[in-house]
Amino acid sequence: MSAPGDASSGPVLRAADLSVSFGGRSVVRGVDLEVRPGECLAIVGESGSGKSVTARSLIGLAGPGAAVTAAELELAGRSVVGSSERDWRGARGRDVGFIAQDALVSLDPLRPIGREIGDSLRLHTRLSPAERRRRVLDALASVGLPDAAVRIGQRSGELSGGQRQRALIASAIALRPPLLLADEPTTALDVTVQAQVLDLLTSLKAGGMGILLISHDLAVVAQLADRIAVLEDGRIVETGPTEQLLAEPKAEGTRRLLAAVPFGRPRGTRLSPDGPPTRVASAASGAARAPTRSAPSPVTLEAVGLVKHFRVAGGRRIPAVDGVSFTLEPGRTLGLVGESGSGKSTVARLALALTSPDAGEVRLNGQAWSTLSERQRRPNRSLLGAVYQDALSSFDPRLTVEGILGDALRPREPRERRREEAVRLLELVELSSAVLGTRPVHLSGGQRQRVAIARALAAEPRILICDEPVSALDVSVQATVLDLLDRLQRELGLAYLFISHDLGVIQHVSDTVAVLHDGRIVETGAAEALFRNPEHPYTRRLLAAAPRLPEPAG
Amino acid sequence: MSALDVRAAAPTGAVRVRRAARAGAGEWLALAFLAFVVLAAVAAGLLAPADPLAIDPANAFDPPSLAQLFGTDESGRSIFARVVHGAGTSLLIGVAATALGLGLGTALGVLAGLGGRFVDFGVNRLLEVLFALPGLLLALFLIVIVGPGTLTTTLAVGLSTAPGYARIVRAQLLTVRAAPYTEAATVLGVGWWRKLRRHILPNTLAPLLALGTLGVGQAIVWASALSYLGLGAVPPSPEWGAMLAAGRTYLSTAWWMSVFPGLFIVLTAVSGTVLGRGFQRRTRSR
Amino acid sequence: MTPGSPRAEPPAAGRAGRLALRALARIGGGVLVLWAVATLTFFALRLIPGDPAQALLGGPGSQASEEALAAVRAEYGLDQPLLAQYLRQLGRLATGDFGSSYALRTEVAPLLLSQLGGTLLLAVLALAAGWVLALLLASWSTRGGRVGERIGSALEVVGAGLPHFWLATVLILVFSVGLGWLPPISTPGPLGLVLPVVTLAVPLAGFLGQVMRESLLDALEAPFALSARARGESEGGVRRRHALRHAALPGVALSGWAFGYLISGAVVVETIFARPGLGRTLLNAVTERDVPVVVGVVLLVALAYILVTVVTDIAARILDPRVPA
Repeated sequence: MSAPGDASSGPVLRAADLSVSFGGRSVVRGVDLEVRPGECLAIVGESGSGKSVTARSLIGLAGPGAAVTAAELELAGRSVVGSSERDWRGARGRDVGFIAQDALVSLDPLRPIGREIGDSLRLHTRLSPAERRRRVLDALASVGLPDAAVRIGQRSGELSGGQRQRALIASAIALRPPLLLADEPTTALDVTVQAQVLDLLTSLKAGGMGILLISHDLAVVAQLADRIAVLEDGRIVETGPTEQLLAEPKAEGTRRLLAAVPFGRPRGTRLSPDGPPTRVASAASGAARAPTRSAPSPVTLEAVGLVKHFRVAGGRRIPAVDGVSFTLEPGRTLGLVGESGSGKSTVARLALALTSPDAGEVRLNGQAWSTLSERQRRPNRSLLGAVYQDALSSFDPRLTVEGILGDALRPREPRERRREEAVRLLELVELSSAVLGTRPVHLSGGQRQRVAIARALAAEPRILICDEPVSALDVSVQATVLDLLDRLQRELGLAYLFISHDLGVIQHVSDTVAVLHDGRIVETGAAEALFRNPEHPYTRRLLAAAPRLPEPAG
Repeated sequence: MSALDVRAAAPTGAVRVRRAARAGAGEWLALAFLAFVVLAAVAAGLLAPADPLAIDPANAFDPPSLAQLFGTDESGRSIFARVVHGAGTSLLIGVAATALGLGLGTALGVLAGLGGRFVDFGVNRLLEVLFALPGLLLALFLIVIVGPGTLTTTLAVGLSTAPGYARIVRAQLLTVRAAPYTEAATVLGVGWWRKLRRHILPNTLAPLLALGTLGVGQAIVWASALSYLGLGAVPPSPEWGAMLAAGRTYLSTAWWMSVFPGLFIVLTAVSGTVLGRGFQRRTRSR
Repeated sequence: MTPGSPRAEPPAAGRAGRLALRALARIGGGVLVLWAVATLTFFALRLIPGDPAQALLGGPGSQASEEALAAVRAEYGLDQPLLAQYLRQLGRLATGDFGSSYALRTEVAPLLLSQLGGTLLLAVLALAAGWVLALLLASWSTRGGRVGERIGSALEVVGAGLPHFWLATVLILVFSVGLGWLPPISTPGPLGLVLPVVTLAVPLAGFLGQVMRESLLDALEAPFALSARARGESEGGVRRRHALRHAALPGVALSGWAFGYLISGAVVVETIFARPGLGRTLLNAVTERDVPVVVGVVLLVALAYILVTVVTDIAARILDPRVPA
């Protein structure tokens, strides 16, 4: 047992030469970390960089089959190298609090949250149930969850996303551990909620807690971290104080991550480094092949006073979309931004005429669209293409890429020409024809989204409806897909209805932006002007909450 | 790299997925046993030349030996020959009952899933009524109406399994109909019939092979239960359940008369389950 | 709708109200199902070829006297139009009058009520035993290592493939004929119940175990289990306090099916162990074509099945707040 004085002055986490491997494959290779009280160290990396495994190995939970080695590993001033499972259990929750990655499902849905939070107290103290209850209420109050006395009896399903994350944090800090491990604590949360959670973590830090923050998002990290370590392929490629690292990134990996952040980057700037030579070649051939139709006529998509209600439990009807109007000009991008539940996906479905509005209508090229029957709509379906967030589920699981593209080409090309056309489409989205025989399950996230875009382009549409097309992707992959969409727009003269929750992405891709809140468009305007000079209070709130990198000096 | 990340995040899940890819020893054993049963069904004489009906009172109640693998019954008939020759009847009943149940279930399920709100409502109420008459009860009721026998048994087992299949098919169809890939086809301007043919039906019916394989074993179990109760195949014919019923009288003196036919029922049911689950894992992991 | 799409559920009080409404609706639906079963049985029995009175008296070949036939015709109103007969039958059933057994020459309703207790006891004990067995097997086989998992999975598959009549035979051979520990037929008293309950419980446990093990494994890997471990919870604590509840959920949902399965099994088991009960009564009635008794059992079992499903439907929703009310 070290004296409490030691713990407050010495580092709360010290790891030297930490390595993790699974069955002989190294995932984390010789990582050194140190966190002092009241300090936040952030580990930033893309998926597969080993950042989550690093965090979990620090509490002895790297998973079955993991071989963890370290020259030194100290938690709260005590070495845990060679600890027994029993010792580890004593340290977890008392010396280290842990917030797992999936904030929304990290509380047992069958148990009241009061029990979940009280568990740490029950396991590590001999408090009476009454005292535990009081401490649980304190913990809930300290994370800013109102009506704590009611909340402790509720199960996680009865809480909103932000409330769940607060409750989870409360369960991690109920014993005031000197160190908090937070693995992607704000992913899957709305920006405004994310800002609140970051504020909460900042106040915990100010209270003297050391925080190890794991994130893929440099902008989020910049708000909270004192120091940043960039993890790539299990190695720390660069580490340094936040401002210095962001201002003068040295490692190649850091620069790539920084360049991929779309926020504050005007339209048309590349986010990804130039692709391999094949890309250039394919772009050229794509450009040469592009005008297969002679001067395509411009097509406009218009929404007029759209209203759509949904029935909720208990038979009540609530408006998901409530009087939405917009016009998508040919060859332009209309960015539709909103938080979860704002109705943006419903707008996408209405525009695609997958669901019909309760009031108002969608018009295509000045003619009826949403009011037509599906049979009447079918001849003009080819004018509209769609790209979804979850590309995988939008592919028939029985089909290979060739089958998927072949189906999409069917109305336009005779059977014998389809394979050739499919190869051309793949070139257009910078994929090799080698994927033709593959099922999408076996492709990476970025490849799947490219196949989805290729499919959407097969019918030579004039408009693409993109519903969160890059939300499930890593930043660097997101950057390449955004660059691809940008290039396609210029080469093919497409118009995009681009729907996203991510203000940075919206700012980067849009000509015009519409802000959706509770089913209504609260503000609309040219992208640049709207971001510089937001008028509606909600837009201001949204922009203020959006994490962004500090403005570079130059 | 990403594969490792998955494994670290969900260790056992990854193990389970990995295992799905290849057939285990259990699946090969199950396949071998079913192959034996099928061979016995088509060419019983090849595996057991002895006449399953030939009476030989001098050799009655012989315990299992090298000469008489499974022993003999009260009339000196070879149990092994009878088990092998009974495979045809038992398997036929099992397959026919499953085909009937699956066929009827699929028809009802597809009807409910595609027929619109009123048809769906009607089919669902019908299924609720059928569910309220659990398996054997429906079978017994049918026997009261039609009278006992092999055909009735097949019919009864088939009918009593149909509602379960219908519910599965309907649920699957509704899932596939609302699946994002079906919507993606709509956006591409694919017509209703082509969507049905290309996406909805294939993805709805794909799990049926596995379901059927799982079902045959259980169908044989229930059909032989009816025979055992004296309502299916009747004793001189070498049906497995009927053989067990005949052995009941001599349970304390000639255990082999009951144990071996029963063992074949169990092994058939288990093999069906193992293979069916193998199919299921494969369709899911694809 | 990407980030944080789950939104806060409406308050719990509304949910309780909706559950009550749902229970009422299910009971109302159950009454309709009962009516449909009664209708189905009534008309299906008219499909029996030949004289219904003859059929009621044991089918063609039975030596029913002309007087007996006349009496049956009068009792069932067979001389009246079909619709009148049907309404009359419904009216009788609604007042609990199931007619009288031809073979046993007693009123059906009291006869069935006297047999109901034994079967219910058997079914409830077997359900409980099956549940416990399945949970034990599921938690043992997921304790670690591939070998345990393989063995557990094999035991489940074999268990589910065991026909009741064969399992009963083997159990009798081993424990009665061989070891002499337990009676081969069901004597009154707890000892006589052991073999019948085990016979019913083992295959049931095989089915339940497969489902429970899957959901137990899912729960052990779930993010909330990681959170619990990160709080310092032991592996046993994660199981006891978290995973077992999740494993039990599909078991609750399957209870309606399990009830039907046990009733089917009771027909076989009661016959083999010579145990009085609904199942054996039904089998005897089927063999003797004692139609009033058969119809009585069918309706009684349908009623019980409906009650069980209503209860489990509501229970599943109380246990799992994620299932919409």
